[in-house]
Amino acid sequence: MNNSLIVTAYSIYLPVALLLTFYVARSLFKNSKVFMIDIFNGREEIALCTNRLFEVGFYLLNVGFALLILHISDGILTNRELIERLSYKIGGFSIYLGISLFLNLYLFFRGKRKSSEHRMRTEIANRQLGVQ
Amino acid sequence: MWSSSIMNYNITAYSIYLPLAFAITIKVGVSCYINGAHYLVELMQGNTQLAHTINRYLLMGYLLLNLGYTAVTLSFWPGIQSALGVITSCSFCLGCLMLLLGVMHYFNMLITYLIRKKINNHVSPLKLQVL
Repeated sequence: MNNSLIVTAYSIYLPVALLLTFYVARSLFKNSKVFMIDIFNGREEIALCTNRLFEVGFYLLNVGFALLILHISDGILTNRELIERLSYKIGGFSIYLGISLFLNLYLFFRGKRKSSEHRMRTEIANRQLGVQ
Repeated sequence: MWSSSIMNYNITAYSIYLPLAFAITIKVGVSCYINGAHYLVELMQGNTQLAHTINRYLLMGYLLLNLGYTAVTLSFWPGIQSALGVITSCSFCLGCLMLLLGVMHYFNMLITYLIRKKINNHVSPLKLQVL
């Protein structure tokens, strides 16, 4: 078993995966504040808290998965194999990251839609009450 | 010689894993404790003291559950035979812990959302009737 190539693989994979997670999370949650404030009708405190809670969950799920799939079970013999393994791992992790990004986006858009529906319903109810 | 080297690798792995796992668990718990306080105040409809008491109980339960899980993991740890194994098994167990925490976290947020929805549905027709 050629250990040095495996160590190289780990030391390339881990920083790439962690930086990728960090970058995606930062850009996602910097922009999601707008959604959150909209969902919570401008109540900024609870909106920012929700944003932070989602951020914690996102980091946990993605860094956890990145660490979980770190293990390379059989030895790497050549440089070519190293590159292939690395690209397989990093690619798989990026796909997972993309799926969880879209899941979060879906939740944000759904919340936005629900809150605007709710607002419209209360507005209509208020208007009907006003007419009566 | 052989068994002592196995034991040494395992002890190295534990001394890396335990502080990291405890730090992550406690950091996530405190973050949820601080950010979830607003939710609980809203769920308890403004009863701040009750909300804070419940929040503290929730934090305590969370810490007991997860630190207990972390400690129990050690007894299922495989024997490590190389320095590389230390990294691999540490990262695997940390990954398991973090995924578990993440899934629990999202599940909790789902439950909070459902309770909020229930309260809103209960309150809004009443409000309309009163109006």
